[in-house]
Amino acid sequence: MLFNSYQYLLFFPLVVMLYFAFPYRWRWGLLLAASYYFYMCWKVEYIFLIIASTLVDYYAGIMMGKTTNKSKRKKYLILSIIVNLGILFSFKYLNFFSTSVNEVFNYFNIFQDIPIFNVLLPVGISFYTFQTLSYTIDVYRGRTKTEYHLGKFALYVSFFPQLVAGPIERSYRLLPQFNERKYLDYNRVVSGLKLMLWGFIKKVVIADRLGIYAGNVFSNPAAYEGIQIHIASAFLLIQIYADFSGYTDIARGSARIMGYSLMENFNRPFIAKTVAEFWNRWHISMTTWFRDYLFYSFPFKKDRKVIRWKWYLFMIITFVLIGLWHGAAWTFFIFGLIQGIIITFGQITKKYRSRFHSLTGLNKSPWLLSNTAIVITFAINCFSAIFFGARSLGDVGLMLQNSIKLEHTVKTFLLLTKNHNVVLGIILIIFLFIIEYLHAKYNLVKVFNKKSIVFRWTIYLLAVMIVLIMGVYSHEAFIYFQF
Amino acid sequence: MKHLYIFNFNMVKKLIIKLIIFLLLLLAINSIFNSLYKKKMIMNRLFNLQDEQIANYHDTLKYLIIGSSHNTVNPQIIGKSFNYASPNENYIKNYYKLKQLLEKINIHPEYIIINNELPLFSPFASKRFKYDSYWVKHVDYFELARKKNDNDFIYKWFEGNYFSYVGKYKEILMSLYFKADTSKLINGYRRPVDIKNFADQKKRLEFARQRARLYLTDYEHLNEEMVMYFKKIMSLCKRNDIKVILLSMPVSEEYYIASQEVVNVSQLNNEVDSLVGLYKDMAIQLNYETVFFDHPEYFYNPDHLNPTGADSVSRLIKIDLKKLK
Repeated sequence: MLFNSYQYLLFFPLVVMLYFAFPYRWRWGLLLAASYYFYMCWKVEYIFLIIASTLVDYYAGIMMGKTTNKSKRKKYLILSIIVNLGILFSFKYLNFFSTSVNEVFNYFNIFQDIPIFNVLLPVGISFYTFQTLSYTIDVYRGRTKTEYHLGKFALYVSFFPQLVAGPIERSYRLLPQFNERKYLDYNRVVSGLKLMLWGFIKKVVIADRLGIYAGNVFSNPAAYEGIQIHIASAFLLIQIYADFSGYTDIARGSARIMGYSLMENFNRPFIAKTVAEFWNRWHISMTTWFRDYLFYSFPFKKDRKVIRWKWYLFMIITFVLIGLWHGAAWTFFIFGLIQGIIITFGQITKKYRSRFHSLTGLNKSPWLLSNTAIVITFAINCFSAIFFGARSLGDVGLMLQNSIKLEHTVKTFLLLTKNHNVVLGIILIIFLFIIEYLHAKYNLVKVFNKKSIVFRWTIYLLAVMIVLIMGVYSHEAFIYFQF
Repeated sequence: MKHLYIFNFNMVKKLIIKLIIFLLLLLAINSIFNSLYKKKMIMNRLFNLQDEQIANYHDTLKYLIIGSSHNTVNPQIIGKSFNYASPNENYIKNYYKLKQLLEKINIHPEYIIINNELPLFSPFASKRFKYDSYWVKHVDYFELARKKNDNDFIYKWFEGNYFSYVGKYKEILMSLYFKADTSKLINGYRRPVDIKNFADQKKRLEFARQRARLYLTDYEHLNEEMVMYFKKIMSLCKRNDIKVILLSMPVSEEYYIASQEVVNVSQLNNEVDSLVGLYKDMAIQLNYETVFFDHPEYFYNPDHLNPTGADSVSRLIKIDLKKLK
């Protein structure tokens, strides 16, 4: 079930009404049933994968809770990791692995075909697998307590607002909320609805509009060159942001209405001055997951001192895995590798860059320096977006090759000004950035709440009408569902 | 009970009242936009005018032309004819429109001229549903939902009736900026727009490839639904004793080449021929597909004629129709 579907428009109010009408002690049951139904609307059978993950991690959590023996606890953690990553590997990476090995065999003329399985990728598998893994790792580390209530634990794994595309919650944040009594609070409901409305604007008005031109270019790269490719990659990058942050806002808004608080996933990523900062602002729940549960587990310290080369190496490995988390393809592998190398390069050259800024006097004009850094970071991310959006490495090559053909730039630009999807896309990007800037500077919600009811309701109605009139209603799934 | 149910009735009351007022306001605005869109949207105005013109057609109607925007046959050139074709029409829409015309409006032409082109049997054509706010009055969306086993048609019906403007900002802007010159619609036909000429295009083959890919991608065999509705049209005509002229309109040479790159044209044509062969007694095929290969200037785009091309092919059709006698 998509958030931007009629089903959700009926499903969500019904769940909320039942939720507040239900006796407190049975609410977890209602939410669990609703969450499983929400997931089964997509494909019924795959609910068993969630149930399997849930049961294994529930068992691992209980067993870890029963003992203080570290090696025993470790065994249960390994069990949880093997089962969860095993499911993830089988459904997401096995075919990629088989295809890649077959290609290597073919290259060396070894006629040994590893079979390819025709399985559909379970929606949101990377999200709920990582969420449930964070629980067992945290129990192992003693950061969270064992959850003994199977129903509430199952709900933690499958809570419908964030089940298929996050935010990837931590057990110590979300699980205790299922034990709290939630009251119907007028202000919270209104605040949740506002957040959902903003999420819908970002998804159906902005992201899906940008996706039309970006989709055309990325699905037929041979037909486009120069500025068309640059615009398409910028559109794709901002489309992914608007799509995913829009989803997150709808998820957070839905949860907020019922009294649950989900973590923020984005913090204006396009004002980042470095790629490293970009990742601190982009899909925060995933990057912090990789940081907390993977990167910090790597042995890059000796006698409490960081060994630089190891730090760099593990940073690159982490980003390659972040790339592969997004999808089982070489394009995602290279996407992650590029990000890792750039971040490492940024760390290595940090000293020299600041020396260069002093020598050239650039540090005396911080405005120029920071805006140049923002533009460069954005350009690097647009370049990376080509790897993210291209269907194959062949397409990447073609797009990179065509992107430097700039001889018809003026003519192409004039033609683009007649493409309403491009013109409207640019207007919407400016609108998005202005709203985000104003919100960061003045807290628009607070300012807005002080206005008269007539003003507020006019804006609400206008916003709904904008969603209705300017939205793209081909019922596009959220991009991050595929991960 | 107080501990079991966490309710603040005043808060619930406040929330419900405000929600109801908000929804009522929204519904009021929606119904204004919906009716304005239905009446004023440029395409709806033209389609509705076509409906009015055919309902008020009192002369002898020998040839009724139905089909998509490809069917730019000028009824003034053909004579005793009415062009009831409209953009984006597929065999499903053709069927329902024709059914309503024959059964409700009681129009009874001697011949029906309908497109018989490969794109019309494609999977793309089967998914082609646009302008629902107009089509809700012709197409039985509930029957379609049952036959296609696709509830999306119920949503389309709902949207077409009550939320016609949703997602239609482009059409709204167009309707604000452009006025449909309804006086130029004669016997259902408005000459094609003449703002671009395919001959002036520099990358004609590439343009043609884009169009061919749009219509013909993932097209290995004739789409079963399209075949079913084609057969329904033929049965309907047979029941009403109407002969059918199956028309293949001209395409540019570049489009012809591009189509062969995208699909196995000869195999698909064989499938169409076998299908048409079932109706030898009532169907006549007129094929003009290749007649303008040397005239890219007759085209608006790779597969649509411009006014000059449309009139030229209409004259050719007129000659061939006379031969039928």
